[in-house]
Amino acid sequence: MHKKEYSSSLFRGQKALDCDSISSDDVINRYIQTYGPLDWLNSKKAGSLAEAVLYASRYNAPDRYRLISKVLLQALEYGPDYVLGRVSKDARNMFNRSRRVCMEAHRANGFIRLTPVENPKGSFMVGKAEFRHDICDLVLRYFSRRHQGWKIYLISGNTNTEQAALTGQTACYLEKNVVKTVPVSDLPFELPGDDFERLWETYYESQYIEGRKNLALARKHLPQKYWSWVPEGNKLK
Amino acid sequence: MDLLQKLSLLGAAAKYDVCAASGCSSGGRSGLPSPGSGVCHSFLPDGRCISLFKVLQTNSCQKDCFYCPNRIQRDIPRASFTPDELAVLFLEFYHRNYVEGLFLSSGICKSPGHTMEQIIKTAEILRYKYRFNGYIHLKVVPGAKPEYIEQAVRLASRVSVNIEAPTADYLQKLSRLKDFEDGIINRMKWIKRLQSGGLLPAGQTTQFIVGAAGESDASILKTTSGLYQGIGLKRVYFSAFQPVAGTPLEGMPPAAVLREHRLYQCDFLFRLYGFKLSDISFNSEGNLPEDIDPKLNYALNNSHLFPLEVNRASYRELLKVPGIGPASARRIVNARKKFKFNTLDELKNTGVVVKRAAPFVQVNGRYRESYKLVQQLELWRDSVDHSALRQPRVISQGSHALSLV
Ligand code: SF4
Repeated sequence: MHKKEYSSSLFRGQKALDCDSISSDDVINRYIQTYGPLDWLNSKKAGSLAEAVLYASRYNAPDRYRLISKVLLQALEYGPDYVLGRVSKDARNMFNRSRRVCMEAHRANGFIRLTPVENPKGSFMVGKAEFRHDICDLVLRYFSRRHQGWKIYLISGNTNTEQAALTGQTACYLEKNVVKTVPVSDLPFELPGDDFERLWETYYESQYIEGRKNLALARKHLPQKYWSWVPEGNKLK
Repeated sequence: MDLLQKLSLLGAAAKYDVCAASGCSSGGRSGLPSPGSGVCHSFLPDGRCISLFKVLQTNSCQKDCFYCPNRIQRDIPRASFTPDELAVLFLEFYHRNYVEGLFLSSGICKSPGHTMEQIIKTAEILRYKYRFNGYIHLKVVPGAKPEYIEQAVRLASRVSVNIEAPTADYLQKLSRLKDFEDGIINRMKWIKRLQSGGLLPAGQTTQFIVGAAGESDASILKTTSGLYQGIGLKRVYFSAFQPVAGTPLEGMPPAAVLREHRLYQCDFLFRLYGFKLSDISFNSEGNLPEDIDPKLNYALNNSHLFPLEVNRASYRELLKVPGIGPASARRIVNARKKFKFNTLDELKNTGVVVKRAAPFVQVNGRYRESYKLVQQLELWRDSVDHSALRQPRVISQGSHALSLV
């Protein structure tokens, strides 16, 4: 939080805060004293705002909390519709950040390829991914819901076994709903190859309509960053 | 024929099916607020997304549709997937996260009944044997009996019957063996009746082939509007006709992709912006002007309604302003409860495309005189290369009915 904002916040003068000791009712009451009745805090609008804040807080930028706190102060001052309507530049920025985080999560949900592995230790799905924003848990939860009964591992960067050993890569996974990491060398399975790619590439090629060729549009939707995630990425070069 | 060859043949045979379905869900089941579309798993060099595994059960067909690469008279390799084979193949794709669901269509092999049995069997294997509860779109082939339609409706997330042409007369120009009223419209009505009770969560859809029968945009949109209002279709799709070598329509010029695009724009105006057919302007041939989008055309033809004061205009009125969509109109109406808009920048923050909207709005009594309509027109005219879009090439591989999801 910015120094100036901190000094005017409810937390001024405190060096450290124990979140568990904060009562949300107390916090709300103190805000009511300053801003008057805040009935909307129990409405759907507060839910929408909270959702946007949640995603904006995962945006990779040093000022992410500063921006969020500015927007929340605007909501308290002018009402939730003012910020939900993105009337101010700050609100627009925060919602744009929230949207970008969601967009990255959506793309990850769509473009990460998984390879199933089954061995006596269990059933696993492994994929690789590199995220700009803090979304690893969202993506792992999405795949865990999609593939119930399988444990999902996401490896960052190159999954080549030898290189992985050299560079000490890690894989993330969920354990009791908490994200954990493990060195690739300690995974409970050998990194699999997948012959299935050939079938996919055959299908992918069968779908292309040459008369409608529009590489610019394809690259807009599947940006270069993701080309290494999907086997067909080199077709968009 | 091995699996790879079948996949190539029966995948290509479905490639004109436009796959908007799962790509347009509200964020799919990801639990995330949608940034505008659902989960797309890949994009083709033609810019279309792959979200579903679109494939034919078979490309053998007893019908004679003049535009279709699978028509009975055509001498091409024929192949079929067995229901088991197709179900397993789809699940392999699904598990690897290549696709989000299945879109299954088929040529009419032996009889409509036999074809529907194969389609239904595939869906049953997925639903009951493999407990797949994701997205399945099943094509109902023209002339399918009620019992098959009922089974398809019970199994699928979405079903569709292809209408192909806007009237019976136009359909006659595309096929001697398809029956517009009984084979297509009546089937749609049956599906509508079966839909009640929570079946078909993704509804019923259909598609037109645009430009194969000499029909006008006005006739397509008249039927489209009737299908939305009368049968409650979830979506209507349009596919620009592309001539296929070795078919009776081989020599016909392809339809411009831009024409398809303009029809989709009108479709969005009907569904999301509250426009009626009478709000759409056509040229003397009954077609949409190519060089101006239909919403802007409406605004220019109804200049007496503008400029609108953004601090007073209703939600419906705001939706008629070029550059203002449903999301920004909603934001404006909500924000105005405690706030007065004073500048175009504030409007811009809400998502309004100010460049387009400025000539048609007043902000707190002020109208930006600098935005002269005529000067701006050039900015609004789409910056696409229309000539390129008018010239798709002739194709030799094709699809079932050039359909859309
Ligand atoms: S459009 Fe359908 S029914 Fe007509 S020939 Fe092609 S596959 Fe057969």
